[in-house]
Amino acid sequence: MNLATDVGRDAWIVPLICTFIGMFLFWWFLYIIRHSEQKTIYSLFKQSLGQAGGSILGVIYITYFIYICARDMRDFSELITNAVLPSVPLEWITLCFMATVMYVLWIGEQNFINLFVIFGYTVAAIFIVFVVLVIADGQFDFHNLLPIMGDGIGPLLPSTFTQVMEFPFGELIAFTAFAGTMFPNLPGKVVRAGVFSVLISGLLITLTILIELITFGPSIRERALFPLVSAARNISIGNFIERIEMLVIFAIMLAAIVKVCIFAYAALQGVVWYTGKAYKSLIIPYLLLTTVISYYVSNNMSEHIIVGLGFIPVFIHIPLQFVIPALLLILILIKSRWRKQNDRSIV
Amino acid sequence: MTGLLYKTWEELESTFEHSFGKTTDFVKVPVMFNERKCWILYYSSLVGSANLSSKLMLPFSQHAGKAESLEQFRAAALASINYMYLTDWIQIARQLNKNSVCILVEGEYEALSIEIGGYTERSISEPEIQQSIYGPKIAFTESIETNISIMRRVLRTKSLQIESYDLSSDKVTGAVLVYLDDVIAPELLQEARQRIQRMEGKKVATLNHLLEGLRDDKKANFFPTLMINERQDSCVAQLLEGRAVVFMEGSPQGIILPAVFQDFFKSPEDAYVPAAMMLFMRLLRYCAFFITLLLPGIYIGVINFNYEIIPINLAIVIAGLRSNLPFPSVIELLLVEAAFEIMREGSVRMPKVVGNALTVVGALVIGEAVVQAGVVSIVVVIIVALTGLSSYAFTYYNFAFSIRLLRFVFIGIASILGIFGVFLGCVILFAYLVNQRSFGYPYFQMNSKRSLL
Repeated sequence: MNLATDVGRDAWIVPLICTFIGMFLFWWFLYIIRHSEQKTIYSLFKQSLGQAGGSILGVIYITYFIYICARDMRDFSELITNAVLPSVPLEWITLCFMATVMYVLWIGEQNFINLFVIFGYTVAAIFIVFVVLVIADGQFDFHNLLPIMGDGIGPLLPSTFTQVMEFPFGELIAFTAFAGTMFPNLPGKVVRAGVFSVLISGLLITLTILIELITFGPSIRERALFPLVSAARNISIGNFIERIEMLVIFAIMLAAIVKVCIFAYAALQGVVWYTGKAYKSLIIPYLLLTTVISYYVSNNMSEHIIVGLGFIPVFIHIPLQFVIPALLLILILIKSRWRKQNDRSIV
Repeated sequence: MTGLLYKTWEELESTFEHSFGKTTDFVKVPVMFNERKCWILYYSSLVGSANLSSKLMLPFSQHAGKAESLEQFRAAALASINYMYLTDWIQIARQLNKNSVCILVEGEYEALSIEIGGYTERSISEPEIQQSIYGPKIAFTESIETNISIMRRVLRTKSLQIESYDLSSDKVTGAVLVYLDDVIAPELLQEARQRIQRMEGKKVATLNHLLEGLRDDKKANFFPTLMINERQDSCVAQLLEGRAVVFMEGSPQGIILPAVFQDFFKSPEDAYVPAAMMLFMRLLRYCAFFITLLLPGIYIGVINFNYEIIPINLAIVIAGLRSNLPFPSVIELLLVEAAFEIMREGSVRMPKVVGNALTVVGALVIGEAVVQAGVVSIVVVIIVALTGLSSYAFTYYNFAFSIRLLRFVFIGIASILGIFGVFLGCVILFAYLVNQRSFGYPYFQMNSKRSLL
């Protein structure tokens, strides 16, 4: 997706700032889970808001995860119809993609985490090849970046706080739904590794936007639907290595599968927690539902992008990613202090 | 206990017929043992006459006249031979089927069974399936004893342990589990024992039955999760890495367990070449894996959906070659693939004398004439030939076979969804591989650590 287009040549600074915010966010989300001694965010809701309130909030979060999952599915399907298979209907592409995601979820969390490790290595390899080819191609201009922050930091802030901080960094909230069940008590090693991987992925996003900017310049980047794919398409070395966008699309697909799986898994963990049904029996109905939502979520690509980068972050992401976790944190801190005082009074 | 072996000496002859039938290779010889009546029983097909006369008959004629009892005779004359006292006709039948001779003496209610053996065996020959330039020229044979001896001649250590199992109670097919008890993981050993024991009493006639019983997933699996090996050096290397080997009577191969995905890309030759060369060859095999699996699918996807991603000159050439062809590209590819597979199968089944002729003729006919006639394009022939050659880069035949099968799945997906379908197929394939287990070990994992999940 096209991030932070409104700040032109400084677009790469925004994810860089957000990376550090994102590291803090991730630490904060895990801190809530660890400090409350609950396994998932759903049991945390119940603990802090009681049965009824907790259930309502939990269902809201499940819906939210499914919705984000559907949006990502749509994003990726739009990429495929636009860049790879213009002649194949969107429904068909989404359906096949969903079938793949279903199988990946069906093999269980231990296995799909191993699979994602392999994906990680593959994406890293493709990214290195891509960067090497961009450099070898030579069609880039660092002057596109100058002057760096020519208008001061002011113009960067809206897009930082209303777009990039929520998407993708705030979406790390999905990990609160299952991190506690995978790693009981969340030892410091796990939290450190998580924060470190947020740093790495944030730097990757920054590097990607940098490459888009130095190959195209801000004005073309602003208008491209998928600037990274276009950048790959532009590469031509000796009239032989041409059009390597398929490699990039493959990497994007792996990333999309990981993201969709994590959101779907977060939602399914919630459903499992509330209904007690078997995880594997829930995969097919809930992912079919997600597919339907992803099809009806917007009428066309432009609407999808406008809603996804304008409306959603402000009205859906901010309350669910920041306001509620902040309230939970305050509640937990008050409770623990209260408990401490209680202990003292007993003594 | 099922009572005595016999009530009266005279009824024995009918008991023999009752227990062993009228099979013609069953030999019962009445002899005198220190003026007592005595029967010697064996299968003439399982006991060699040279062994019989040197191991049993010669001592018998010298010592039998003086011996007071059967045990005294055995201790004096048959001291170096493996023996067993039996009190049950079923056990006697079992021992007779294990190359033994049984001796029954009047007045004693235990039968002495001694292992004689000595039937003709194939001698040790060079490996034929897994050939290697360097390394020992020793392949396993059909006999378990020979195979164990081949192993122990290299691993002369007390930690080399061998456990025997009778796989079926009626048809006596033996299997042995070989391992080094100081390197093998105890969980693996436990699991292996359990799985072999589970096969006892079932009909296990071929190595394939044993394989099915040993592997994790009972349903059809595309990739082999156990490795069949006929080479001494690679079996020894696997044992030293803490794996176990199972040999079965009558199969000139050992089953190595567990085997993971990466193992199938190793060749016995890797141990004899420099490290850089080994890395290069292994990389080549991984490339061959992806070419065999994906090349036809990618070709279909590119030609039908995304011809813009190949360089323009190449695209023009391919389009020019394909312009007058009667079939759609998928049918065309499948035709040539089918021809190639038939050729391969035909050349495997052909007698060795005509085998070579067939491949040459087949290649000429299919390759040259079909292109000349304008039925298929030469690009397809190149694709199929490259794919076919790549599938020979693997040292393990089963593994290459599963890739060959999956290739058709990829052609199918690519004809519907193009390159995108190939991508999705890759993801599903790797998810499948990650999901597989070999004796509890993850079949496909990036880090080299093998954790039992």
